[in-house]
Amino acid sequence: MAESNRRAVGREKFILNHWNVFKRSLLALLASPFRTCLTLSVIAVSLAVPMTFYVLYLNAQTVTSKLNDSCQISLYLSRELTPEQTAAFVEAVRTEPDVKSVRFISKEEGLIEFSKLSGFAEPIKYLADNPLPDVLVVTPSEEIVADQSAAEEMLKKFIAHDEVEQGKFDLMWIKRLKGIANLMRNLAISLGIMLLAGVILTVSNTVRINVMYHRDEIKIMKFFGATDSFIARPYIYSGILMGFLGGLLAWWVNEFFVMCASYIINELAELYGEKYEMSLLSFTETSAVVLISILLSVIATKISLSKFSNF
Amino acid sequence: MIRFEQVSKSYLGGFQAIQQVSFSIARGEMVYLRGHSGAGKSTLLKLISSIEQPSLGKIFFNGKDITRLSWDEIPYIRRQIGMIFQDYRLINSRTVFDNVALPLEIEGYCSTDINKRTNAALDYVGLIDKARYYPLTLSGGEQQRVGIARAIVHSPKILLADEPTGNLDPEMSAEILKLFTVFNRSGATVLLATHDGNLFNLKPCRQIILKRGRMIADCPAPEKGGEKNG
Repeated sequence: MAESNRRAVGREKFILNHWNVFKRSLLALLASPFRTCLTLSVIAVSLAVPMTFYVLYLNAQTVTSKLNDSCQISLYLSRELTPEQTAAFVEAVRTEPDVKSVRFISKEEGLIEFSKLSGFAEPIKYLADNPLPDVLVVTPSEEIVADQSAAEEMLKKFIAHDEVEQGKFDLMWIKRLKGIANLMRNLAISLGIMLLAGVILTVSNTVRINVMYHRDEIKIMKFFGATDSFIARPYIYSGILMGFLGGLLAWWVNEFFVMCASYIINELAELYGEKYEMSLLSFTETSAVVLISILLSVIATKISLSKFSNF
Repeated sequence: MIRFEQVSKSYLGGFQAIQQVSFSIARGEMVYLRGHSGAGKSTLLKLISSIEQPSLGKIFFNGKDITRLSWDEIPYIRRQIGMIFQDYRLINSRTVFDNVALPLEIEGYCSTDINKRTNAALDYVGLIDKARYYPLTLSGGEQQRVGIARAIVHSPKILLADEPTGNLDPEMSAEILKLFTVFNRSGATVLLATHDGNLFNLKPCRQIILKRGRMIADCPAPEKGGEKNG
């Protein structure tokens, strides 16, 4: 009789049961706020650190790809040149076939910029004359940029001119920047793996403590015929909740880190008279992080739940 | 209802808790399981509820061989049993109502059924007005009545009680015993492990007596009128 009755309201009851268990799990998390906060912070920080490195990597990548297009050659002109000679040389370079554009920075402009940026404005005032040379910043055409040997060829050709005292590629530091970006990515990956393992350990430890705390209760439930899945259900729900909240928190922490980084970078960019818009994680990427967080927590919960079977 | 065939149980280290015990209990019977502490009463109850498995012999429950149950069958056997403990084993973080409702929740009853049955069970043990209390605010006798309400709320086929009056004074014990008697009269089998001879004096019925793991006597229920026997 009871059996048929129970089946009749099957699905509705199933949903209701799950909803009740869900509510109870939420209340259980709220019941020990300190422990819950601690676990959530661990999840959040563990996820946010690799996330932040990843964001930095993304940004470094966009920066270097932009720089690649605008690979430049700096030519330091001889200080013996007269203004006319300088002007003629600038014009000659400008009309070279492989040169896209030329920017001339006179030694006066150079000094002003230098004293502004270096903080040596005061001592510079006492210099008898301007120690800086005129500088010619040459942007080669795209074909040259794409072909490194051609670019080096071009540099050699410029240095051969008497007017040029020294010439330099900007490629070297772009390479370095790319190296740093790659380092950032590798850090994100390796730190990510370690910290994700940390998430699993922390969550499974929290669940284990929870299970031990409710040991007697679980025993009693088993006396009255509770199946393992019935006992596990609230813990799985807490796992999902912890994962979800931890993931959201990780997103905020990451957003905060990135905002700080963006502030610092913009201060730096301002020195170069530029403004830099940090790119952030997309909605899909953020959702992926939250999903990963949930998945990890559920795995961790499952691991520590294998414990109670022998109560 | 329950049949033991040459059942022995030894624990790790060689301690023989139960040795070659055979008996059977019919549906609707009320039986005392008697003996001093350490005689094997608790072990015997644990064997019936599959908390322990016998080392030798066979156990039948309601015609089904439960000697070697698989892990996922055990919960469904236990749902046919109501268990009562000497130390009550209530969940102290839940109200009296929620404690009693637990077996129904486990079986997946809907909330209206849970309400109806839980209130009926609480009414039966006379604690309907304390449904919202927490167990620790109740007296020992009241806590045991909560335990009984929880054990009968899902109308089990058999009630197993392990020293249910062990922590109670004689007056309380008599009250508790009355609850068992009434439940037994409604058709359920009751197996009551106790070392308390007074219970027998109050309500004489069949006794299975254990001593150091062996069954030394199986005294049938005395004829009506022949009260003193144990």
